[in-house]
Amino acid sequence: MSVPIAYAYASMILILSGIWGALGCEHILRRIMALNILGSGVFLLLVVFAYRSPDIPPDPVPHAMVLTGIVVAVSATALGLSLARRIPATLDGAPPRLPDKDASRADPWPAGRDEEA
Amino acid sequence: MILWLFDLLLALTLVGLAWRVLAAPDLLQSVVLFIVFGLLMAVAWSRLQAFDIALAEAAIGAGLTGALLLNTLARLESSTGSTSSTSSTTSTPPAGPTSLNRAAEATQPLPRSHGEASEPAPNREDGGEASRENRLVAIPGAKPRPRAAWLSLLGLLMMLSSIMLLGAVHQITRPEEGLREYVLENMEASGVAHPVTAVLLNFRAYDTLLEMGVLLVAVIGAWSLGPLTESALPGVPPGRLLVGLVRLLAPLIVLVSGYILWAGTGQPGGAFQAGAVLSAAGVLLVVAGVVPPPTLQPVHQRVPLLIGLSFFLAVGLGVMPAGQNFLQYPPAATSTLILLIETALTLSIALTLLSLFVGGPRQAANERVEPNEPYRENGVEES
Repeated sequence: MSVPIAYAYASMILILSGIWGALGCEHILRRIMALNILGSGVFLLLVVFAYRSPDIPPDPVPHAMVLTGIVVAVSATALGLSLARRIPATLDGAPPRLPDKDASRADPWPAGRDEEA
Repeated sequence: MILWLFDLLLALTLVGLAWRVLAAPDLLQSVVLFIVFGLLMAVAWSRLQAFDIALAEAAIGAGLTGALLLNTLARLESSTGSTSSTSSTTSTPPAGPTSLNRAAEATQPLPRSHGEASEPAPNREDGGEASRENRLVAIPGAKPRPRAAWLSLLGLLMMLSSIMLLGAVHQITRPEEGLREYVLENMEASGVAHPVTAVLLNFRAYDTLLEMGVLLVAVIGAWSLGPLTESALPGVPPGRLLVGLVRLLAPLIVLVSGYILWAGTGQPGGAFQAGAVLSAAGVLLVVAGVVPPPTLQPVHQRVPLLIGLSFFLAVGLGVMPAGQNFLQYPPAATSTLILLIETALTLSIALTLLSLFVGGPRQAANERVEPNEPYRENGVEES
């Protein structure tokens, strides 16, 4: 069992950093990448479970699940990116100044900015 | 011993790469590191004797996801760049790609700003460009979270997850569980010689059928969002070398894909890997401008998109009048049916992934859809 133990702990850290990044990162592209890292961690854990020993072939069922998972993950990623690509256009179409005055971060487009200038 | 060291180093590198992907200040760097992460995952899969997954990861995780991310990054930058230069009434000159990139990341990811989370970031006040970029690329309209409460909640979640994960990791000391023996006992009835293909297309064919449904829903979802209004990339036209190389490579890639599909019955390979490789050929052809991106309007483009799911479903239902259960292939025809289904799946997966790469119907750059106006019926044009 000496081979997968390093990968088992690596998968654990990958899952944790994926959760951390998906919830904590601000940029949408980075969040999507974090979700992919989270997925990779889960896949790695499944494949570590499937591993037997260098001489015995591994369990094929988790392998099939991971294969399915990889393809589903890439399609979900692509859908997410496709949504992300629409955000600038949506903002163009949105009212130019959203009423988020109570934001703790500064309003990037304060209503009076143009008049002041 | 050396291999053990290699495993340790690889695992550490994967963790380090994941960390840099989430924390690198430059978004382009982070995307490139993510591609490297996918490639090294493929090495890890082969160390764990998961050769099917290694193939799929090399084609999808590193190749296709990387292309998707780079494409989206470039589009986001070009749209936000054009937005800031056209709608900007301030005197700020439009920033170059690199500084846009940096500016987009002015909001640091949490892991880096952990220490200074309680104090409000001072540089958000002055940044004309930076704040606008944040606005464009962060989730629009989202209420900012109270930092301290959010961080402690996230920390609690991480702690709980790590406890559960530790429990899971410790289960690997009981290796004799699992379905491996059942699969191996029934291999003769499966119609193929490779256990993973047997599981995918026979023992658990239902999963694969539903997965094709998921792929179709993803394409429908992405293409139902209306035409892409973003401006075209500030164009470096594809060089002659690229076009020539792609013309040379594309037939070769198709050949490799066919081989992977065929090999899948007896060794690592199969419909997923073949479809991913085939879609890579499509992506290359579209990127090099040899072939126009699919519009999914003509019938001959829609049929391959649907053929995987529909043929799979037809076979599953077609065996039922003969007294079999849903998806229970008749023993005499099992091998043939599986190969036919895999061929259909390969075509569907390839076109699905290519359509997802293209991202949606195009629209000529000069006719942008007006804000709040419902999309016109034939606003879809081939670019």
